[in-house]
Amino acid sequence: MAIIVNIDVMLAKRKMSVTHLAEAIGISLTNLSLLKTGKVKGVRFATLEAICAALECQPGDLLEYRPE
Amino acid sequence: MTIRIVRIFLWIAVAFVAAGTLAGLAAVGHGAFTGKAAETSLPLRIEGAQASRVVDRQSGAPVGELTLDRATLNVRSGGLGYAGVQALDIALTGGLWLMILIATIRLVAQFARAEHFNTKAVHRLRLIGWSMIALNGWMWARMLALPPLLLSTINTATGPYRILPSISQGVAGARSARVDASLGFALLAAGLLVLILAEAFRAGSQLREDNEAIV
Repeated sequence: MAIIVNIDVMLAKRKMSVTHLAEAIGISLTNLSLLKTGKVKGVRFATLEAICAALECQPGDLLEYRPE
Repeated sequence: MTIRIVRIFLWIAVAFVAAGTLAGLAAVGHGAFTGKAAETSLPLRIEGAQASRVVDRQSGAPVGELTLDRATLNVRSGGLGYAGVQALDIALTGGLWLMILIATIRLVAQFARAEHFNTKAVHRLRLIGWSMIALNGWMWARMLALPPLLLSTINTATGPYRILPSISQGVAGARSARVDASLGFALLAAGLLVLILAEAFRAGSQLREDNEAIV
């Protein structure tokens, strides 16, 4: 997949745990882990918005396009 | 409530089909082992039979014509070969019906658990569809091929008749009777519809999986 999810980078920058982020955005830890490892087929705008709000960042900080 | 009633009807159907299949197999088996001839009924259409006029009972005026060319023949046919084919017929027909009914029961149970779109439903629908088509095919094969193969000639007081499949043409000058088979297409059509439904469920299953993979 050419789209890289950089949630772990933003979590490290904000010094926030995955569990705390999952609670803050209201999705399960399992789904957040799948998203973090890029094992999902898509992200809802609502989820993206919640993550951006919790991590105080832009969608571009979370997603990156890297040609294969 | 509706699903419960459907399941009760389906289980009753399973019980009837299973009992009928077992009874049929037992009768054929008993006949084969005791040497008793198996009996079957063939609907026949007799070619070149005499026609008679239908008249009004009181006035005697002609009101139509009745062609006396149809008969049902009770055939007693012995031999292990006949019994074997008869047993195969009963087992195949009963087995396919049981397969259809049990797959339907499992499908209904799955729907009752709100598990509509998954691969199990698709497989079950495909099984039902192909079983219906196979059953229809076997019915055609049985009606078209088996009776004349099992009993090629019948003897009557006026001479022998050759028995032909229902779709064949009689030979000019020859005395023949044709198996009067009504070829049904209902199961074939139903089977094809179920296969189309299975494809719709496959697409639905794919959509559900995609939806679940979106967070």
